[in-house]
Amino acid sequence: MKTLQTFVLATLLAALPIAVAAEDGDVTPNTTEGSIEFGGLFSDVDGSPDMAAEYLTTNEGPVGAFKLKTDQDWGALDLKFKYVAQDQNVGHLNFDIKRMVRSHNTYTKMPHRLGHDPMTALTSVSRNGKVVRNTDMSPNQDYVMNYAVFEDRTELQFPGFRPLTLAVGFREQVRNGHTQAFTTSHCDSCHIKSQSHQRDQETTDGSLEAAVAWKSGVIRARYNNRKLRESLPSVTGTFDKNLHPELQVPVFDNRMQYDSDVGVVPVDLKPEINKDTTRLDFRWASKNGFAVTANGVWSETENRGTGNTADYSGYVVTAAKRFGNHLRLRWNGKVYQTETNSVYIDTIERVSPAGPQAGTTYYDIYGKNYDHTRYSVLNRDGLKSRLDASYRFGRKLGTLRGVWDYEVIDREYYEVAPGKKETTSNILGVSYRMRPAKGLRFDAEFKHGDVTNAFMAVDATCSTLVSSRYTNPWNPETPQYDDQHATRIGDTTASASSWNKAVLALGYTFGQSTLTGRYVYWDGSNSDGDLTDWSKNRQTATITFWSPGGSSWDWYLGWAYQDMSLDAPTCVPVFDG
Amino acid sequence: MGGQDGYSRNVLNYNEESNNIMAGIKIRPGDRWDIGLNLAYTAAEGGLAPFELSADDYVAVTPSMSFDFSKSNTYSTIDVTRFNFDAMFKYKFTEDLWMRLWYKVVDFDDEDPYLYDTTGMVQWATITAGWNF
Repeated sequence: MKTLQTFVLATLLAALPIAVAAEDGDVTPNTTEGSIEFGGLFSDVDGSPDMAAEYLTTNEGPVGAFKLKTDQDWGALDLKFKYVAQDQNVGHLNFDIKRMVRSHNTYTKMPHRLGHDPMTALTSVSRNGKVVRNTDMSPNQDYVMNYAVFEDRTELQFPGFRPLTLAVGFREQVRNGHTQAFTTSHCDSCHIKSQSHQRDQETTDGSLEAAVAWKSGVIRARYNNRKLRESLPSVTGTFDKNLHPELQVPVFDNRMQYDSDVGVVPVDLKPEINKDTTRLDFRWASKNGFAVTANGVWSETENRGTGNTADYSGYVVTAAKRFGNHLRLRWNGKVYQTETNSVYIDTIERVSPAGPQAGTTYYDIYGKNYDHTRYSVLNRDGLKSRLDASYRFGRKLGTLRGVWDYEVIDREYYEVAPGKKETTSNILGVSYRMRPAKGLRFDAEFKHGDVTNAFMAVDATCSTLVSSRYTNPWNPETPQYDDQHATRIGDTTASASSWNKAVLALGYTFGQSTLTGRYVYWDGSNSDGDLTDWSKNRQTATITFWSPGGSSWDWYLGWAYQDMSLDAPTCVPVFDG
Repeated sequence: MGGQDGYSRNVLNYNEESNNIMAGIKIRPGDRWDIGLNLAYTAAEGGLAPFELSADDYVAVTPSMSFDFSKSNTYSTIDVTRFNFDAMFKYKFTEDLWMRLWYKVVDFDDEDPYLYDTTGMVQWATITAGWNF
């Protein structure tokens, strides 16, 4: 509702120049046109609307639409608003006043049905009585989030100093409704609880921008402030008491940091975010076909709950030069850095109240202490480069283009191969576009990618541990999770170390009809790591035909096809007990 | 008994395929009528090939710990179809006064439910009158 109020306010403000101009009496009306539409919406739902109407209203009631477009001496205004239902409407408002004030505003509202997981997959009983069970505390709740966004950009340009353009931007995104919140209690058995979490999230962006342009270039500075707020950031819950899964007695307290003893606690906590972004852009073009652009971006993102921050700085330079009418060269380079602070998570060392390990902590029994400092895998220095050369043979013979993409990601902490934190990728591509005959267009493209140390989790699976059999779970010699982790030998990935892509496209226009076809083939694999064996193959094809038919009708027909095959290994430890 | 006896490994194969056809026509049979019809049909399937994750040596000596993955590949199978149709009829009483009828139906068929059955059909209809100025 608040977003809608903002839109209405902007509409009223936009009407001001009309009123002012009318009072001035110096307006010569030129053109004004518009329409008003009013009626009713009827709907019927049979079964679940979650997929059939995932982003559409199922409400009934009045509908209305209003359009107004006017060009006057004072400027122009274009307003359009359509009300479908309380949870679905769309509109825009564009106006300019003597080219001094130019404003573009849009508003969209729609529902998003999230579905209600009945958690039937989370129900099982083992032979010896271990149980996975669930409790749905809001079984009749429909999980729907209503999404509304208002965006405004208004530019000011002063008659006395045309090179200067000032701009303000405002964006407000509201998401409210209910989401399904899950909590898991462990050790007594796996008990998954679900409850409704009422949400009221608001993300606002405010920006200021100044640009100075001259004949051959422009320099622009922009600052943006973003705030994400949650009026209801969490719900409350109580975890189950830690119990032995079969005996149902509290003998494992020293294996969990907390349980029901902490009482009611906030759960499903959503973070609130502040983000500041500053950007500088520069563009310059010479008369002899040489052009250069450069920009820098600096941002800081802060989690208001934890105080954790993520900093980003990036710089981009692009240079392009045309040599005669045939050859064109373009280079684009980017360097960037991201840095997120490390976090130390202190653990609660509890004492078991009963059983063979009564009065002892986990450390007392196993003598193991772990480093709970968490380092960001996103911390990195990056470099990207793209060299692009094209040669135009002629109108019929077409244009040949070559591309070389080079990228290096140098991570601060995360290893993507034993002892290696750097990923280097080279992509070579060649494409050819021609128009061999009137109405006929042909495009072909081939790319090959080669990646050294593609993103991978090293020693993440396939534990080779072979242990003795232990009949007593309190035996301090029983292997622990870190023993199992330390003996893993398999690397996992979902990134190709080598891939090929081919694209073929045809377009044929005859009379006023158009036939287009496009086929894309992608094939990649990664066997660089131990036991990796990852591969993916994807094909897509589209054919569309459009024809005006006759003077009183037109029609179209289309077909789209997609096929994907993925191979990825899985490893499960063979456990007894 | 409790302990670990190494691991079992398989390369899983996942395949998905979708086909989508769409067609539409706009007709202006006279000065007073505007008619538009649009149709789209999508069929999509995705799923894992069967896998065993067998640990024959282990099961041979520990028969009570035998396990069966013969149906596990089917748990995440996707098999859906979606039919969309909408029709619009606009009649102009005069150049500036008109009436519009709009109808839309989406029929989603979830042949192999994953978390729950999302099969459903929704129909919408609007009747509106409009004035151009």
